[in-house]
Amino acid sequence: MINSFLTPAFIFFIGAILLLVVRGKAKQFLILFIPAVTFFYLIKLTPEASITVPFMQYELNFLHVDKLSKVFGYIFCIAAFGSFLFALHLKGKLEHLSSLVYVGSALGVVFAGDFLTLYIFWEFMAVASVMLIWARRKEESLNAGYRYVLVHIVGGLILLAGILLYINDTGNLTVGRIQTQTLASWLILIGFMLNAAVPPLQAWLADAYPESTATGGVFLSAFTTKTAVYTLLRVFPGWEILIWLGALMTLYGIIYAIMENDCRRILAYSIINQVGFMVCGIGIGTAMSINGAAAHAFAHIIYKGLLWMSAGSVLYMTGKTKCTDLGGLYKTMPLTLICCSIAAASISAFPLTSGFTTKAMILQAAVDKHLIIIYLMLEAASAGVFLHAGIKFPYFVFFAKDKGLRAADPKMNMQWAMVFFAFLCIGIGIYPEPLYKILPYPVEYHAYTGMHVVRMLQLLFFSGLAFFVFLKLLKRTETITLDSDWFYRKGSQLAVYVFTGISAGIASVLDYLFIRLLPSKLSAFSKKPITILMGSYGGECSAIDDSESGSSPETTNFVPSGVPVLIAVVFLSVLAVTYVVLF
Amino acid sequence: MRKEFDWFDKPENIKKLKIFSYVILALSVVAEFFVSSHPQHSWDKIPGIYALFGFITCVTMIVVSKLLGQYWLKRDEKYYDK
Repeated sequence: MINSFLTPAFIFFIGAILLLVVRGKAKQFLILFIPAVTFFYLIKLTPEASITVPFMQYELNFLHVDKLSKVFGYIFCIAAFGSFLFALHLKGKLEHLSSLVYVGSALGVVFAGDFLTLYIFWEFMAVASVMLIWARRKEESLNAGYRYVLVHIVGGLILLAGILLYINDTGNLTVGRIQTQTLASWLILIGFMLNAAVPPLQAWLADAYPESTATGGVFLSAFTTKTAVYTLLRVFPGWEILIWLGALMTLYGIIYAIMENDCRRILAYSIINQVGFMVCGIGIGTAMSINGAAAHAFAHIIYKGLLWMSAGSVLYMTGKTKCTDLGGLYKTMPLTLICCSIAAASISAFPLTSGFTTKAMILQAAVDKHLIIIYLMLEAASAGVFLHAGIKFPYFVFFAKDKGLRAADPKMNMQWAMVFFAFLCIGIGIYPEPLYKILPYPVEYHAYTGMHVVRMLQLLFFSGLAFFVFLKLLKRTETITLDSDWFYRKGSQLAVYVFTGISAGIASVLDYLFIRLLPSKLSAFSKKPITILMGSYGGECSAIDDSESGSSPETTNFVPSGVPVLIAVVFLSVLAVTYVVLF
Repeated sequence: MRKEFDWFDKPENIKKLKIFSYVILALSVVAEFFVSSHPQHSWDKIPGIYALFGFITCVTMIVVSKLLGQYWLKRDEKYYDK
């Protein structure tokens, strides 16, 4: 039954096809028009809309609309619009093409009504997004892209295994809440958690995203992890394990971000930290926490996009991303600094910015459910966010020691994109009601109580104090930080060593057996079969050697004639028995 | 050529900024006495507890990551190419 003509995903796919035939200004218009038109199309979509297609005995549903899917649909369109504006100046089509397919697939996952559709778009996302890494055309990017896509294919296969088992167990294809703990549900959960970068399945993110292009990183920061957050929200709300994993994620992201030197790698770890808040909210599973997770995902996509834009601008203008190479850029990149500071304030949840009005809902939900340890972990992580993303990133890039770089603010379209996102960060902070209205559950929440504002300011200001008091300990070093990708990066070297060792061993054994030993035995056997078979029979037989092979040993040696007959009889009877048994 | 903006490079300005920051820090703690309180936890009644909590957790995180980095996780940039 078709009640609607298009899914949001297909609008993007049509855009991708149109992109192939347009150029110049038309191309620029197209990539901004597609997310804008999809946004307005989403406003019109009602829960009655669906596009179902029969598939074997099941029904595939490409368009399942409810409040949760619409929140993510809206923010994905906004993020796509801002990111395309940021990338508007790109000359080639490859990045735009892969971005359109990538965003379209993310929307496909969000509006998928059944698990098979979800899975197909899920894999599309991985393949389309890797182009944004490879497009940087550096050897590191190429290698990181390969690892990225391999990890996601493995994750996708785990998800597929889970989905197939789930369909087999329940006969149900619909994407909906799963409450029973079976092998199928665990496999699906692992598949989702890999894309949400939940430790220990998180290393792909900090490995691959920082190797992307200056503009590609902005796209990457928004879609893969947040699509996973959406699927976790839809399928696994209230799973207790997510509370703990989420809280650990928040702290893990901070510890690593403090150690990192590459500024885009700092931002990558900070994605893990922020997604941790959302995962924790999903685990808590109350209306308040689910609203909080959805709202925080919404706000996060904007301020994290803005942070990646400012880091992207720095990369675009200076060609550098390492904190040890950067510094003093406030003099020549004022707009980038201002926008970056707004994003940094938002991620740190300063009052009047978006993080303040969204993250607090998750913490409130933890308090309401009396999860005191979790609450303290999240509060500690909130302090740490200011430390690494709020101060460290802007401080080392724009202030600290002047490294003599005199890069100007980037191109106009990049500046407009940053200003657009900066306005949204403050807009959601000052007037969050429109966002609260589109959340999945009707919840009354007021972020701006006097106590909440004062406490948040205390927490943040004194975290800032800690940063400057211990600045010496935070000195940047030209190093990388080992993460769980060590196991497949160094592990793969070990595996190559082990497997080549094993295969070389097997090869030499086989070589000895089949190339040297067996042919020589067989040739000897074919020349004098009876003697060889009787080898253990008597001294005179073993005395025969090859030098005499010109003569016929069969005629010169004594052989008991009954033995070959016995062998033949035994062989024939085995053959006969086999035939009888088989037929 | 227009003289570039270098306000943050001057030591006297940094000094002003420091004084301003200390005032802000103090104000944030003092402000607590002027807002209505609805304590949710037992520790909520202690004045400045969130300031203390923020400072201590950040110092802990800095020290932990410093130690982890120094003795275990930080490696040379060419580590994976070897």
